[in-house]
Amino acid sequence: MPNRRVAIQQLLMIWAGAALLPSCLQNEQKVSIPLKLIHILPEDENMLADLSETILPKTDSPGARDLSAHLFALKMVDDCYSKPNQQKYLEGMKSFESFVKNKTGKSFSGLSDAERRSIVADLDKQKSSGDAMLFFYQSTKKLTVQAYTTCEYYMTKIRGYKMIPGKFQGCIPLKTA
Amino acid sequence: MGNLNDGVKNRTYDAIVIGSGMSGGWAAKELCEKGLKTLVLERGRDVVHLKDYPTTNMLPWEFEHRGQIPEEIQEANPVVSRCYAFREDAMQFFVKDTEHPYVQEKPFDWIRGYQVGGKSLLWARQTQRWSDFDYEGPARDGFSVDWPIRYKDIAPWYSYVEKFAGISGNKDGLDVLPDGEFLPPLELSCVENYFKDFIAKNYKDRHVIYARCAHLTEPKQIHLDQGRGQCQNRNLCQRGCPFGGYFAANSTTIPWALKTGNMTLRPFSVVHSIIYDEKKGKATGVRVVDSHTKEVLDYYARIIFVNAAAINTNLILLNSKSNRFPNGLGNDSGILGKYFAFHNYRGHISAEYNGFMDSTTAGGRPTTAYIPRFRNVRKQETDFLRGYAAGFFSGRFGFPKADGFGIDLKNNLAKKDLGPWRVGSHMMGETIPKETNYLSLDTQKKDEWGVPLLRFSVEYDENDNKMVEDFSEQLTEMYTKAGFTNIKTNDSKQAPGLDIHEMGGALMGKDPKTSILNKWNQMHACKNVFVTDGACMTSTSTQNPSLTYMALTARACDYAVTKMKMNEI
Repeated sequence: MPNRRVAIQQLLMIWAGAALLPSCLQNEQKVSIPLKLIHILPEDENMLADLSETILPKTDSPGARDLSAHLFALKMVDDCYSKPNQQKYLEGMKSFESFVKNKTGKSFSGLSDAERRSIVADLDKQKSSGDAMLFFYQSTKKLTVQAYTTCEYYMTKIRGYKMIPGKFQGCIPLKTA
Repeated sequence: MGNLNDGVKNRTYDAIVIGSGMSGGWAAKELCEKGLKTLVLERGRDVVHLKDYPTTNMLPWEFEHRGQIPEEIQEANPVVSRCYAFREDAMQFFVKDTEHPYVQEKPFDWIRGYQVGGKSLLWARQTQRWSDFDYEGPARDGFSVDWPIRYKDIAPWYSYVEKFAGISGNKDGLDVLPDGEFLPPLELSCVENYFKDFIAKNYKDRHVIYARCAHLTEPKQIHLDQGRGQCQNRNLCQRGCPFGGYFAANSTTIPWALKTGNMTLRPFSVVHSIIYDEKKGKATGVRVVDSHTKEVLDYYARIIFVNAAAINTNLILLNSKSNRFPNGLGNDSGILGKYFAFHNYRGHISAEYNGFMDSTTAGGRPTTAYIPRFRNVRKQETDFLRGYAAGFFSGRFGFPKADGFGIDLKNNLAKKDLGPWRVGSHMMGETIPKETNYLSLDTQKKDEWGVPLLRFSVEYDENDNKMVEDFSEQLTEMYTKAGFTNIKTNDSKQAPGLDIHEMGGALMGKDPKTSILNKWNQMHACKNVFVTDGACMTSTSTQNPSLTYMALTARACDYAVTKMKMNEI
């Protein structure tokens, strides 16, 4: 009997614990990197990966997905954005998802490449405003570009970055730079 | 009792140096080389050259936030976050606001590096000599007190420290900025050379030169003996240099002192106060609180060098109270902590230049060009006292625009459009030390080691404001005449302190009634205590002060040891 009582108590405690856990927390385990302040779902992460790749696709040079640019973007929003901007980013992400759903009846990840490009083309034309969806798009683009322009390929192959230049040259022909 | 005596014996040295940074490292080196068993006290941790530079070889893409400091850290530490060098690659060398609080009666950004080497790991490495236009400034213009030394007194010591530290420069032949013992200069850019020639042709008394800096552009034997090598123009100095290419106490003076076998380095040692013995009429030692165990330990020595960095040196002296010195060690005059000053770094100017469009630079030069002070040099010309120097830099920093998306975006990012040359200057203004700008001890609040918190009452005055305006006007005129375009000026209004050139509080002077130290950096009223960091500075000049601290330290060590041998101290 005592054993049975203990077993029931334990079961109740597990239920109680489960009830206390917000549902997002369970899903969150599946997001690829640990995030401290912002909460997103795995499908948000997938959408972000597809959006980043649409912004900066793989060509003969690495694309956003090769660089995990979307994870870099999430990391930066989580660690380096102010709380109001984190809120705005998440709000904008939701708006973007609804916007795509309303317009196409599908999620962004469910669209063809051409359809994705058409969505991004519309957003990319717009000038900065207070709009949260635009803030989300522009922030994602900025961070995707940052991931690319600070990656090893871009810095060494395109910009000629050398960590140890050896000497400083004050005036060289542009052609040889 | 036997044990106690043994303990005292074990805690007795010939000399104690408080601080291991820019000037403390020099005191350690000089005193150890002269044969003194020297205890060097450092409140922070040890940072061993090469071994303790965790970020030094990290590539840009290896930084989690690409250099940026996370929001949480910035929010918790607003003061240090305002420092240009507080970035992901060097943040381990900065004190966080939350770790060591202080009281701001008026806003003051106190930037600190609590570790062996102190801020010498992090400095901007500019090493311009001061001239008699600086040392005679207070006497001519009637502020602070007359410097008890002149250029001729310190000139040989500038040479002495320059040869050891390794200073890159040009012999420019300017009386306002005396030449030194130089390693070869690095190149100026085409635009810097153009501006240099233009200013020389169009202004009688203004010059643009290569900014002298503490970099080994061509190491001599003495530098190789230190285990240092040639500067590789990485321009990542704030991480600690794997080549020892620039002067830091960690790569240079501290290992040199260690090699003599005479140095004992004690990190994690917060200095509480200097112990004064009334019967002997001198200081006998230093009271230390171990930063981890909080154990209070007294250490003893015949001479004490205080090199805790200007602000903490004031704190230690103010907190060294005895019946003889109820207001702080050596403070008969009551001026300790007063006449505290700094550099006015508020003015900035930027512009573009569309010449030399077929040229650019390569490599990361760790210095810039420099415009020595030209205002009120030979006579008073303006409605403010003193003047300012300025940096001058140029480069083509243009980055392709992130226009479009998809393949268009990638093509755009691959463009090599460096844009026009960008040029800029920042002002380095002399401020006037005043009795009303002072540091004091909080009468209630203490830190976790039982040391009173320091209170800051330091601010700009009308002279500083006028100088910022004059900088903007004069530089705008020079830039405009030289054909620079899109000129923008800015007054950052930054708080005092962010210049990280804090000076004064324990002035050198001739008269014990109006100064704390004599011409040998020796306390007027306590002859075996020497102060050779920024706290000793009678005025601020426009030139970066570190080289002068080094020279004053070597000179004071020489004097102190001579007098010890003569049994005078």
